[in-house]
Amino acid sequence: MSILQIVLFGLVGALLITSIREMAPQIAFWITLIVSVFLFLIALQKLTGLLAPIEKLAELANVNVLFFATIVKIIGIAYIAEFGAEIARDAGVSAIAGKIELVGKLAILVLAVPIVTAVVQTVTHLLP
Amino acid sequence: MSLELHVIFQIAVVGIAAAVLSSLLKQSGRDEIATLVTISALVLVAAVVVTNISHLFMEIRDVFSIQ
Repeated sequence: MSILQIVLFGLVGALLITSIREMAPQIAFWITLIVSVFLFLIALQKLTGLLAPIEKLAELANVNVLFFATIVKIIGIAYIAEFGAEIARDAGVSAIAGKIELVGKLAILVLAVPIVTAVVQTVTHLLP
Repeated sequence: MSLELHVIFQIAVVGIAAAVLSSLLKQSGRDEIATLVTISALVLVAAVVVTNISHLFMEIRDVFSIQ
């Protein structure tokens, strides 16, 4: 998939949305959603090729598997929360967008608790 | 995975057709039918989009191994 195709796809979507918005605002929202979904799918496709080598590197560097899985999960949560928040903000409901971002941040914090405790344990081991 | 431009054009055509039809029906005094046309167009579009969103979420679940 060449970058030109992807950019033009986004531009065609934007053109359609701007021309339909006055006629049927609800349908324009749906088009926004589906263009975002397709672009996100392409991003995921690129990411899958990137994630395997990084995992191999983490194995080589003897990084704990639990930490690596947690970080991948956190990245996923960040992407999906951003996606939902941007869609909601585009539809004109920034209150809901803010709540989606809040929930995403809290979910990331909950996932990060084991890593933080591990860091604290290491520090307390180092201290006499 | 290919860029499915035709899906977006389909949705746009459905939207334009629904808008034109409902405005015509409204001008000829059949407001109920105009509302029905709008709602059915929305349901049609929602069916297509929701299928794709579920596909996206499955993919995200696979890639980031969430749950």
